Amino acid sequence: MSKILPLIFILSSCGAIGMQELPIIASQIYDFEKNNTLDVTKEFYNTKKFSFIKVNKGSGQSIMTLSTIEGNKYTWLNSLDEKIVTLNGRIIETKGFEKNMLLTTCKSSSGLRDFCDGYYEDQSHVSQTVFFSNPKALIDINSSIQDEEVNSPTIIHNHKIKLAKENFSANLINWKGVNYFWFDPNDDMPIKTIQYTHPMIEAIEIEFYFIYE
Amino acid sequence: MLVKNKKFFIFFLSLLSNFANASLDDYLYKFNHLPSYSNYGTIGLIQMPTARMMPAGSLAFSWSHSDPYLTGSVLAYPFNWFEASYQYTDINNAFYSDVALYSGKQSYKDKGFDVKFNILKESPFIPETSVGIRDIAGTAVFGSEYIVFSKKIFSNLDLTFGLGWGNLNGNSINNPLEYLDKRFKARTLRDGGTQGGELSPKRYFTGSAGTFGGFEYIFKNLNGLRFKLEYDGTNYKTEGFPYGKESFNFAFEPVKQPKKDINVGFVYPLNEFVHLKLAYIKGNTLNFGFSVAGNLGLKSTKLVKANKPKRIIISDKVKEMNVDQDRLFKSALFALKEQDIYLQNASLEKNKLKVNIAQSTFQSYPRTIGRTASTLDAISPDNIDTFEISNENAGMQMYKASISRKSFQRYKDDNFYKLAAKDIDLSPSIYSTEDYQFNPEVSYPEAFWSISPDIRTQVGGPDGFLLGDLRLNLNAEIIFQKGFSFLARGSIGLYNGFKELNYNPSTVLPPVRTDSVLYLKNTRDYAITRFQANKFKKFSKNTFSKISFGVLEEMFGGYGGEFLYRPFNKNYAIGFELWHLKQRDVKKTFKFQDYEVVSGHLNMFFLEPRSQVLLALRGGRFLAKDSGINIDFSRRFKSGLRMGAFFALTDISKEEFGEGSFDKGFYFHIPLEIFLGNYSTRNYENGIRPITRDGAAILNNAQWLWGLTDRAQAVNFDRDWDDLYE
Repeated sequence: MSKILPLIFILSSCGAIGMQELPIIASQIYDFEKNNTLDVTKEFYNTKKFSFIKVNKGSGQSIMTLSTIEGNKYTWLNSLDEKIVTLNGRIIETKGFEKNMLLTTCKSSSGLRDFCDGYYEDQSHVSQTVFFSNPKALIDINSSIQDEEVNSPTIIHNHKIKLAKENFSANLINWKGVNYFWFDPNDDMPIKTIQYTHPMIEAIEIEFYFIYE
Repeated sequence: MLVKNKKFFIFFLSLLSNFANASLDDYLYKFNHLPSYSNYGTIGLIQMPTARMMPAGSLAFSWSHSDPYLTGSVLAYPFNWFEASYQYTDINNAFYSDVALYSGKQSYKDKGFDVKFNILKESPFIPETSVGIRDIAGTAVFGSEYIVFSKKIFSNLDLTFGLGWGNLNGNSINNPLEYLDKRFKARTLRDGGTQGGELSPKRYFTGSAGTFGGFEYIFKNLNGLRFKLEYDGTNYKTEGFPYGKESFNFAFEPVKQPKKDINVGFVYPLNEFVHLKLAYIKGNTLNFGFSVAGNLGLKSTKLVKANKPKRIIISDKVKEMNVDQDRLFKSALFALKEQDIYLQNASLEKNKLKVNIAQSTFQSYPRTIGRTASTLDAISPDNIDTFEISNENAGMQMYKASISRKSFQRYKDDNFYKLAAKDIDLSPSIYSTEDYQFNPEVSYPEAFWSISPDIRTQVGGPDGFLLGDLRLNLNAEIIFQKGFSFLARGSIGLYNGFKELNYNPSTVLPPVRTDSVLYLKNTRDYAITRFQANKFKKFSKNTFSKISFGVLEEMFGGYGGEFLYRPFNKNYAIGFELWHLKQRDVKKTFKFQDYEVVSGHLNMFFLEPRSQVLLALRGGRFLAKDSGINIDFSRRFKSGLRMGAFFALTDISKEEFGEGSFDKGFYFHIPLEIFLGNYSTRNYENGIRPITRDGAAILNNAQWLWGLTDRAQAVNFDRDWDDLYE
């Protein structure tokens, strides 16, 4: 008998009357890796003790917890050994993903509050060099920043916030796009971002949830 | 002279340059790391082959329309130096036969096997070099041989030059091999008899030769778009049936002869795996097609990442409570079940915790050991220093792994699995309930069932190119007690596409397989595929047995059994099987026809551990009462993918066997976990036999001991120790 598509098998269902189950200390097993569709509600937010980000990288969602703060650099980790380092919401390093990046140099045309330090000053121009893994390459990227006032995209803020758009291009490899950064103009803290981190993967979407003691 | 030298120097640098900037090139020329496929179906330019190869463990499918041919190709790469392909060509200028009542307007179908061997890898000064034979054992309609050289001049420009024989001698030149031996001067159609399907070594590389060549250019920053140009070396005066009826009785019109020798084409990669092809050949013919190719042999890091072991928290509290022995056993039962590992028995001997487990989730045996040990480590009180893990399958214990807890813990954080593996003592084992203090009651009979859709097909027959039906399969296994089970499989027809099916090949042997058409036609509504009782028993640490009774496959039922001696620390096994069988009625009910046979084989297996190449020999009496040997080579890859090929030689003549001369084919088993995203031991199994005949037919034995006892040999652990802590 011929079976021409693996999908046929994938579609198949299976049930089992298994071994005798014994009720015992049910709470000892904690499955926290299957939460692929995660809505951050007020209740969820209130149960968290540490700041966290909700990361959507196309293939699935995960929650990453704030691990360290070094100046304006925030390092976020999850149980899959994935790591994201953000500078005021801008991704400057990823590790543990299929394709990773590291910002190596950054020059900005702005004066005091420049993009390279994590600020989104309108009309500034930036040139960066980024190291991409898999395949390894150093690529120069140029970008310009524009910002505007918008409503908050998350549950946390109920006042007007700012949206910065970064039009970027890496001419050598003909890669261009727009990164978005939503931030609170009162304290410059990031709220949400949609950023491209690697030319071979989709943009990463991050929502930031800071918890203050 | 100076200018010439300068040019040469620049050319020399360019040869080296494609090694220096390889990674940036991956961004500039997307999807450039894999070769593309020709219209003919193998890796190549437009019509011509190149010397390029896919990595070992790759599978590919290519389809193209190149008037008057529709070609479908299945390709396998068991080694990075070997391409094996099966070509199926619909030849639209000829009928299937010259008897209209038999084939109607069905076009002629040609099947052929091709091989290509990579004999030199590319280096800065040496081109990649391959030798290939098209239609190696077929009708020689497309028969040709070639040696081909490919060299990357820049990272996006790949040049190819080749020398061809047979249908690749379009611009006829003297055969250079004549200087070695005069026998290369003249070419015969094929060696041997009239049944086809045989190798023709005397034909290969004979007759006049011809040259061909071209290049493949990848456009910068155009998503991997490739342009191809070639000088076509095909001899269209000999390929296929060029002059219609003059060339072949069944042909009704000639093939368009070329106006030009230059072909041009484009390949556009949709993604890493799928390429679209468009070409203009012969100066008068537009071609199109696609190919799908990928390496399925690699370990999936995505799968590992998405299926990490479930963590056990509050471990210290659990350990404190589990000082109580009974609580420890029950805790192990529960905690292991969360990891899809089922505790069968457990025992505590001083500081050693012994568990006997069963699992059907993980292909990797070290992963099973690692997850079991990690779980036991998380819940066991600190005084326990050794875990002894036994694993059973079909009620028979397969292995015993004795693990030092301290060593397992020491290397875990750094994932030093090689050091940890050195401290794991593997040995064969045999089951006895008396060995265990904790024997959880299992409520027998235990039943497992599944429902799955199924498509049955018949490809390339005279009644239609593709006929098939859609069915619903019902699978059930009931375990009455350890080692005693009942296996049933039935199916219900949902859509019947076999109405047109009339083909019934003639045979001089008992129709043990050629009658499969009758079985397909008569089981439109429902069919019982299997209905068998199995008893498994282990006589000693290295010997396994099985006896079965009932409906044993689609066409045969009866009784019989198997015996396998599989020494744990060796890489070979020997066994035998003996069956008394009756042929089932064509409606696949519980009735039988008159034909009966005693079929049996002596089975020998030898695994070469480094390459994971398995040689399986099965000698004995086959279903049609012919005697001989089935020789099977296969290679297993890290992902669990297996590719294999077989042939069988028995005491019947080529004429008795019929078309194809002898039984042969290739097959592949693809682990479904690659597509599912979760660990699974299920495989998608398929194979290609050029033609179904009755000679060398073997019972399609379910739960074959060789497969069932795979984990009962230490050599099958060595390939997967890197999974220990995953």
